[in-house]
Amino acid sequence: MKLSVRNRLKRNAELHVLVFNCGSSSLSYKIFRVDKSSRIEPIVFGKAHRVGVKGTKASFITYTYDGKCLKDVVPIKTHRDAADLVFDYIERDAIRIDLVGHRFVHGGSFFAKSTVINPDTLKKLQLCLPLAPIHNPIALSVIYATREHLPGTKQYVAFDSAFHATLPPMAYTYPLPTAIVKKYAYRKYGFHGLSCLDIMNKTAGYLKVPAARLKLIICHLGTGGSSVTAIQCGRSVDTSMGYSPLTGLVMSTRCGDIDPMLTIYLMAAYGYRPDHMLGMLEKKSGLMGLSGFSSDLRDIIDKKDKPHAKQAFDMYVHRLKQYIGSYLAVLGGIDALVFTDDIGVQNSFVREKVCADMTWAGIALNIHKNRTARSDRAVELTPSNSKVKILSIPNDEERIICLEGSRLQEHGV
Amino acid sequence: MILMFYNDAYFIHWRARDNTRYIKGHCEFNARWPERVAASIGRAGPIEAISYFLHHGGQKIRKPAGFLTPQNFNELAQCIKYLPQYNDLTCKIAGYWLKALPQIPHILLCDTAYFARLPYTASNYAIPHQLQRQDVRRYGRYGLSHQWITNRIHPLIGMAQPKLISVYLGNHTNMAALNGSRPLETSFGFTTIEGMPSLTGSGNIDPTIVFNLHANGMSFKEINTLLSQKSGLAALAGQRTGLAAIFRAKPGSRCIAARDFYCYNVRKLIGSFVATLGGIDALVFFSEQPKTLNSIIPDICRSFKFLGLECKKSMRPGKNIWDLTGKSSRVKIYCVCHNTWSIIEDYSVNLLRTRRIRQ
Repeated sequence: MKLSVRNRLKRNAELHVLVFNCGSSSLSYKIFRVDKSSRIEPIVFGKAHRVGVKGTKASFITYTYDGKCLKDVVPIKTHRDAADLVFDYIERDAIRIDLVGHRFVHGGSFFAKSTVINPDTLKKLQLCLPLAPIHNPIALSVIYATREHLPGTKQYVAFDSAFHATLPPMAYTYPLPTAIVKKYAYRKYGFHGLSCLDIMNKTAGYLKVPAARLKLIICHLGTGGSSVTAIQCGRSVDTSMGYSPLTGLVMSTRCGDIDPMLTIYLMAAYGYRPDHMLGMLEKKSGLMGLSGFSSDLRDIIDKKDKPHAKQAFDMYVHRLKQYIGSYLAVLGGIDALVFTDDIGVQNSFVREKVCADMTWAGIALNIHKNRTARSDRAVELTPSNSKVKILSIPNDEERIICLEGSRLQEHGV
Repeated sequence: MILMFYNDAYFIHWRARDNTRYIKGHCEFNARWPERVAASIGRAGPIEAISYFLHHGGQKIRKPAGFLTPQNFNELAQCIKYLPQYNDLTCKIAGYWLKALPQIPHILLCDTAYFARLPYTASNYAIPHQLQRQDVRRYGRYGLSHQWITNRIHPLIGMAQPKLISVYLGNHTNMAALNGSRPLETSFGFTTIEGMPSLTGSGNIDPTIVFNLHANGMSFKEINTLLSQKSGLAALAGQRTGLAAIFRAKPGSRCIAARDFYCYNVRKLIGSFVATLGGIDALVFFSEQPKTLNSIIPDICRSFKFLGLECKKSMRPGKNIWDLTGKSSRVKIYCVCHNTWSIIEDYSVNLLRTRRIRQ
């Protein structure tokens, strides 16, 4: 018996949304129950680790449902394999799925908001593959896997770049000849948009001020990629990543901002091939390149006596401070500076160093609050009378993807 | 009389001043250039010293002003590789005069030397060590100008170690952050393409675009030309246009997008330098034509109200330095007239004076 999703909704008055979030070597998934009053509650969650990673450690997948937690150590060669395992669990426990959402990193100039998947959008997604060669193809493979396992179920994609579609021209423009910019759609796209949207809403909720009246700087500091975003009137007005996720901050293996001429010089002077050169900037630079021993900031902090460790850490903080300074100028002062994602919420030392010497902007951290802050909830790190708040808020990209889905569902698109 | 040389990629310019007149001239670099210089000097007083302007001293020349002798000439020759089009000419000019007039002092001024001791964080890129070793660092430029201007501004601020940002607004807009007289950051990097967009240079763009253009069939030589000669503010204005026209642009005009983009990026860079300094005591703008800045300085300063920075509404005609500090401003704001020749002359005269004192 096949009913349309809407009919089923009427009968059950609640929606089950399965959300996939592909990382470069992991696959997170969650199933949310969305009830009539739009309350969201996760009923299943889990993650496939070390997907497609060659190494001594085995890959595994976790699955938590109904209070029971399960861990299977199995070879997982691709993200598609990981998705197949997830569908096995779902079929075994006979969990109903009404809607499937996917995170898609780079929607290029095609997508400025979340979109339901149909043959037309699939074609456009195909065209977006080269824009994020690591992330986009794996997300698409999971979309295909879903179509095979749940043929009649509606799917949609939420884009990491979509939140930044509101950037003003002076922020997104690359000053290249107009013909070239148009032909190749060169502009600053920006990423981590789902995380930013989530954090913006959570900050507004925490401060009890509508997002439209807040000026925020959000530091999304991940274990892989990091970015800073300036937010005004509930919109992204500038962000540190660019056309690709390579630019901006010093990241674990990405170089961030660099003289564009330097790449041409190095290839001409030392004979590097273009793909090798770009590969070095993407995979061997950043903290890895500076420290020479680790791409993990926590490692670098722990082993601060190793040669180059301090330089790598200093450079990370230096660049981040510069971006905060430049977005302070863009916004003309801020209401709150928010740290999020793994490094952002877990590492008090980084927050302390970044906020040092920022009193000129009214930014002053309470050292004690910062050191004792918990990472599983929103915490304020400033004295209660401070005009500029410093917050640490964990993000939940899957929850935002789910929200986007229920919004699409409500509008009946 | 001090004879001063300044060259770009094709032309040699010179100036000299004796008691009665000011000699100036320029010519294309060809086999006959020494004759042209000799003819221009004519019978004017004896040449006491000659100074040369080196655009890029790389890792070799780390003093803004120093004497050039046959013994250390080799260091200059080793700098050619850093900026071949310009440095090669400087080297040839200096080589000629060292031979022709060996008995007088020769002075080498270096435009990158001031930034030779930038802190690690400002002078390096986050790239693998194997790439960093090979002379790859952020060199900066306009060091002589930034140093000269801040030396003149320091007495006016009346603080021991002011945190100062010096901003050159012109075709090759760039800035430096200084704590006292120590430079902590500059916006030009390995090349002058990094940082702000110039009239035809792209400024910072995502390097992925370089590789993407190449994948779409452009050679790296073409991309080099594209980023240095066909991009920038002129590309945004969509026509052949000068900087002054862009600065003057009014809402609704064709150049307004370029003007907005320019001011926006200046503000962002100043903001990031304030963060590097941990605050700001003085902001100094300089340009060859300070009057053209009348319309953009207030625009740039507006976004720093939250720092207590406030600039005067209009620039009164003055001589070389204008104080633009608003009545209730917590940060001093100045505008200085920039003239490369007076900077070259000042450095040369000062260096000669220290030599006389030592003798």
